[in-house]
This record gives sequence, C-alpha cells and structure tokens, in this order.
Amino acid sequence: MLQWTLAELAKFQQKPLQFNETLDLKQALHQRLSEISDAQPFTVKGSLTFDHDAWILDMHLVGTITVPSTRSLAPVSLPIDRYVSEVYVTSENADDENFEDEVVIEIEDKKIDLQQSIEDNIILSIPSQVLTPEEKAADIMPKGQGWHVVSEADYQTAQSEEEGTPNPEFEKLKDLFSGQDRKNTD
Amino acid sequence: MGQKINPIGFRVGVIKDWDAKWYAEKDFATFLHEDLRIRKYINKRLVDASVSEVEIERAANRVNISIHTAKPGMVIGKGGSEVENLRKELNNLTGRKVHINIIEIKKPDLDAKLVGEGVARQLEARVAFRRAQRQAIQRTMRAGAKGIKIQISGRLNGADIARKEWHTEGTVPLHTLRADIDYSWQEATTTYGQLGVKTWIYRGEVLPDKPATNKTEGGK
Repeated sequence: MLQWTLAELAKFQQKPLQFNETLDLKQALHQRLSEISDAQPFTVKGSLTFDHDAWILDMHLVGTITVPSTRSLAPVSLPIDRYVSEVYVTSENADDENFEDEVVIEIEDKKIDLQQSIEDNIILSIPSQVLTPEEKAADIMPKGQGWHVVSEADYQTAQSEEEGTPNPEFEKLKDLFSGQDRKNTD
Repeated sequence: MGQKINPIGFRVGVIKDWDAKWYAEKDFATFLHEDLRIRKYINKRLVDASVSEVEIERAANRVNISIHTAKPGMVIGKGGSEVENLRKELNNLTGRKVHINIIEIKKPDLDAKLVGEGVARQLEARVAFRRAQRQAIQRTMRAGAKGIKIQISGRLNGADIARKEWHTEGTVPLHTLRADIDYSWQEATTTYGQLGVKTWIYRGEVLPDKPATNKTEGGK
C-alpha cells in the first residue's frame, strides 16, 4: 500500500497518480518513537507528478496522535494537519539544481515508499513543547520540598533582582588589591 | 582549512555568562571537580529530559542547581518523585545541601543543544536526515532566529562512504562577537554507526548598552 516501483509508475508520467487512503499507524509510530502512546487512523490524500526526471509528491495528512505533556507527562491529544511537498529523484539526478529549495529524497531500490514519508512527517510534526489545554490556560508550575519549577521569565526577573545584592563571597574580593594599590602609590 | 573556535567559548565574558557562579580561595579544585561530577551525573540521568544548561551557584554549605529544560515533566517525574530522588542523590554526591530550580525554556526551538538533540533523536528513529534537517531549520526560523546552520556528518542514509551535508538559512556571523550565536554538537547512534549533528543558531545582536547576559527571550 502506498508503495510503487518505478516500472509501475512509468504509466503515470503523463498524468499524476492520485491517492486517497486511511492508514492505521499506531503500532508503527509507537515502535519508532515510544512517546507516541496512541494514534487515530490517518487520512492521506495527494498526488505524485512526474517532472524534470523526478517524482514530485504533494500530500495532505490529517489525524490525531497522543503524546505526553512536556510539563507534567499527562497524555495530550495532538491533532495533525500537515501538507507535505517532497521530490523523489534517482541517484543520477540527486544534484539537480531545479529542486534546490525542496526536500529531495533519493529513490532506493527503484521504488517510492510513501509509508516511510508519512511516518517521518508525523514524527516531525510533534512540537518541541506539548501542553495540556489546562496548562496552556493557567500558567501553574509544580513545586515540592527543595525544588520548584519556574518559567524563564520569572527566573530572569529573580536573577536581575539578585544582581543588585552582591554575593557575599564575591564581596570579599573588594579588599583583594587594596594593599597592592597602596604599595603602587608609595 | 580554517581553524574554528567554539562560538560559545569565544563569547564567554563578552556577551555570555559563565555556567558556574561561585568564588573560592582555598577549595577551588574541590568545588571544580564537584561541579564536573554534578554536571556529569545530571547529563547522564536526565538524558531524555531535553536539558540545555545546568547552572551551579554556591553559598556557604549550600549548592543551588538551576536546570534549564524544555521538558520539566521528565525531570520532575510523576508527582515529583524523580526530582526528589535526584536531589537526595546530589546531596549524597556532594555532601552539601542541594536546592534544585527547574527552569522551563520558553522557546526550545532557539536553543542549539535542544535543536541538535531533537535532530539526533529523529535520526535514531530512522527519519530521513534531509527531512529532519529541513524541519528543524523551518521551526527555528519561525521561532524568531536570524539564522541557523545544521550540519550532519557520517554514513548518511547508510551510505558506504561517510560524508557531511549542511543546510543554512539566514545569516550566522561567527566572527561578530556581539552576535548571540548558540552552538552545539550532538551524536545520533544509528544502526550504521554514529552521526554527528552540529547546530549554530544566530538569535540576534546583544547591544552594548544592555547588560552583558546570554539570557535573550526564549533562548538560553
């Protein structure tokens, strides 16, 4: 499914190959990235067009995955709606300047495997910060005995306040060269 | 070949601050080695917690450790169990009273270590290196960076001959001291061996009339 050899694709050189599938990727995604605990079936719609000796992929992915919140590890349902545009070339055309600004993927074993591309793009869609709706709405930071979580803004405010009061250890340095100054002036 | 200095070391004392903030007359070596042990321990234990920076401050018999992380949840653990254990273990390691501050990084996409680590983890999850590289660049530029360069080296896509490929967007003026450039080098362990991921992120200029600090909004 969603995998074609170059021989199979030969008949689609004049008109684009259209596809529209629903895929269950839960197991495959969890195997590749253990933090993906659940995935609803993904709708994959798009086309493969032949141009400049390359296959151009335009694809739309829609689905939902479940990942842990980066702040509290609570499961967060993350909707994914992503447009993908990639160029598949053979190794001879790998340095084609026509596709400098595109994501260029070399065709391996004379076949194009979109399953790999779909899984890659879902993994890449996970943002670096995932928060539950409650965490987004109220900026509550957890704390305990001998530790607490602060936001970067609060930390910077605390640091700038501290800058006004010198560290007692550094304060001792004030007298470090006082004797030497006197010696120099003598 | 041009000889390249580490962009962070080049800027320490100019626009970047030190990670250790203490002064000692007699026990300098003891404290320095203790710092190294603390950092090694935290980096090993919190390898999956997206820790960017560990700041150490000392006052009397007390050590304040500030852990800058994009995933405070991984540091804290369920109900704070992990951080309580970490504090106890650091107490034992140092023989001093340890206080832990966990600082949640607001914009992880502007932090070179976190971006590099993210790409390395994606390479380990068998994501094609060009896709991972392109996605990281787009995210960082969208987060407000002035420029980024990512270089991946090793047996790319399992090729027989190791090579390096880099992609850059915007500007990365490495010779400008007032340019706030964050740099990191990370490794990805793949079935074909190690891949190196070098990341440079230019977050804008630190102007001379501002206090000398590396704390730009969202970055380190």
